[in-house]
Amino acid sequence: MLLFDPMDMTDKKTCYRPLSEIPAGARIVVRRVDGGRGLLSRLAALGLVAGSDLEVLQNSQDGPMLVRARNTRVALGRNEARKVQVEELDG
Amino acid sequence: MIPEESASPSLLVGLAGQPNVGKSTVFNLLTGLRQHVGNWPGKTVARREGIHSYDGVNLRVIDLPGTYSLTANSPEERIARDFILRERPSVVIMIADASAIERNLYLLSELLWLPAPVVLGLNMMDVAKTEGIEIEAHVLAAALGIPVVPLVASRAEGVSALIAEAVRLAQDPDRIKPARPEVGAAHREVLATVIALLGESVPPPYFAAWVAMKLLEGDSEITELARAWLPDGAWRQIEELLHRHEDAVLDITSGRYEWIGRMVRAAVKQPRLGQVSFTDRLDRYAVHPFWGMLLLFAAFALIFGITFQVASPIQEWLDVHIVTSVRTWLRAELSAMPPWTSGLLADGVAGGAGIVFTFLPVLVVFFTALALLEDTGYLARVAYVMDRFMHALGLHGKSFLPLFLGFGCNVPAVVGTRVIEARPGRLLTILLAPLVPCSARLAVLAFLVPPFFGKWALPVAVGLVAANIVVLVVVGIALNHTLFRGHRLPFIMELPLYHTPNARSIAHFVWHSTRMFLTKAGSFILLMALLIWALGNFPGPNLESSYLGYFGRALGPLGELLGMDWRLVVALLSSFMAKENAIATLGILYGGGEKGLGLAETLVASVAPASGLAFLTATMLFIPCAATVAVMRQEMGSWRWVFFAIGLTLLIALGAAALVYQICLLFGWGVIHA
Repeated sequence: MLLFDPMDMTDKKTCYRPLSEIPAGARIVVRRVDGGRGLLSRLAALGLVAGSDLEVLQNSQDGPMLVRARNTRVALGRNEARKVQVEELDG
Repeated sequence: MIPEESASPSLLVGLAGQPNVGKSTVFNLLTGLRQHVGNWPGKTVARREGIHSYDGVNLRVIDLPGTYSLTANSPEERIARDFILRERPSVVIMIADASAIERNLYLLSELLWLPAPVVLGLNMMDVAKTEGIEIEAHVLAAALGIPVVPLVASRAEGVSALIAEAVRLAQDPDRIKPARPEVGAAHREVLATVIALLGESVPPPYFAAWVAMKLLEGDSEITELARAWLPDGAWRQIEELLHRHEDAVLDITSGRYEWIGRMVRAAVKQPRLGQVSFTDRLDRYAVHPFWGMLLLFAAFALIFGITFQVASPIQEWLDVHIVTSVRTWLRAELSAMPPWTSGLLADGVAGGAGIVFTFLPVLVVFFTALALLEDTGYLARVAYVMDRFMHALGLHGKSFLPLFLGFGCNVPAVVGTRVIEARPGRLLTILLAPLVPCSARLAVLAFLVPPFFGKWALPVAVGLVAANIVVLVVVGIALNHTLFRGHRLPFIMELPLYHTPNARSIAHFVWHSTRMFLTKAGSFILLMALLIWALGNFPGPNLESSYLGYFGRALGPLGELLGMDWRLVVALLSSFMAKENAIATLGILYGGGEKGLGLAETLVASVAPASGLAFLTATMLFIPCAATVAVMRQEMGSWRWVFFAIGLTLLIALGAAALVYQICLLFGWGVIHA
């Protein structure tokens, strides 16, 4: 199931990239989570929902990656990170 | 531990909070030693309960499992919400980490919908301050409509104020009017429709408004329940509605964070971005793919170093000075009695108790290390760094530490799986733990390999350990693709802030884990020791003519396939009591001493290298020792899984030994060295 950010009226999904491709240091916004409700509610409970600002702390292209969301360091497996669609912030 | 209820009034208090917020510290401060640790009914999740007296009122405090939210994602989350729904505590105290307040309030946004008044304890105010976060508790309290008390639990600050608020609220719950997060406008109508459809069908303690929200969230447990409660027609309508509004869950979760944003806006001043904290600086190394690994192995080398420097000598001292002298004394005292009585007491009872006893030093060191790593926040980093490797086995990164401890002893490895939250992951890790070669098995290896293989001893020993690890990996992969298929949970984990470990929490963990081992595992080990002693001493005068001996001979045909005669089979069987017993049994059966030869030489003179290697292979992989079996029962919660583990290891051990023996025959190693 594809779950869209209800606040997002324009169809800009072509600009979104999976979180797994974002290098360390980047600041991004979560736009969409392509996953079941289980994944979605787990991510939400750790502060990752559509609209959350994230900072990528570590991404070594294999294995899990590390992000900061709402002042919490969250480790995400590669498979999970692939399902989080994000948009990079300017600057 | 819990004193009889007195006549003084008593209140039921639930202590809730997300993981790593210092909830246990608060619980220990409140209840001290007046606490009881058990399991939640039908679950293997620890239930901690204690008594706190305040102003003539007895508070019965229940430490709820730490959960990030209250959906049915894990047994812990179900336990926490079921407790509040069914047992209706007078008040719920929620402990929050002030330095990550937004994420913590997510749990509050769910708690406020449950039928219990909530007091919020804002813990780690000191940490928040060093992170540059300022929180005005009274402003937050005004926004939330509930009492908010700032805390520094590690210094016991604010805890009495928290309890005062909790008791006040419990005695007059209508005093407050909490603000609750509402479902976003886009789905408010859907929610109302679901509530209407639920009508009167929701039985207490559940209630329609909460059930409707959980249905929209896609909560698996509530969906199942509602399906059973409702007549078919009404359920089909709801189901259709839920299907059409699958995106409602997004609206609900985002809605909660919008609500949180409103709640904290006036009360919390966030730091300017880009500030580098202590945790960030340390994490540059701790989670680095290379430095992280190096740090991890340094930490583990330290733990094992302490074990061998401190625990092993104590263990030996206990064995020599206490256990052996008690047994010698018993034998001397009972010399007038029939030999079987002194044997029963000195060898059976005292021997069994001695085994329990000598486990203690290693267990205390490992339990302390485990608690220390968990409490400082480093354990989550270990899991993160090792996840990519454990992933292949279908395991969570958190499985690494318990399995690694297994090299010292399998008992703390099994107990240590408590750090893994999800039950399937825990079960799989417990099943694999006995396949980690423990130090007792390595000692057997070190004793037997050199005489048999001379200059090839080192490569043979290393090869055996390596093959053992390969078996572990293969079994892990196999179980993961069969029994545990589809059970892999997503790897999403918080890396908590580093903090100074709390001596009290660590002492509590070590004390309770050790006590559990002594009482639960201890009695089982004693029972097994008596059984094995009886089997080895009756009916005949010695081991050869005992039931154990007969049993070993009866297994002859099987032994032949493995190249093992009945004496090796009996030695293997006796390793069930303790792995190192294999050597002692061989000593009894092969006699040694003949022609002035030691046991090692006697063995080489009567056992072919192929048989020796098969015996070693079987010993490495054989069923877990009695102590490990006892803690496996304790941690798995049922004998069914323990028997599965025993059957599995038995099959693997015998299969591998047969394979090794047959291959060795091909290489002409079946001949005894003259």
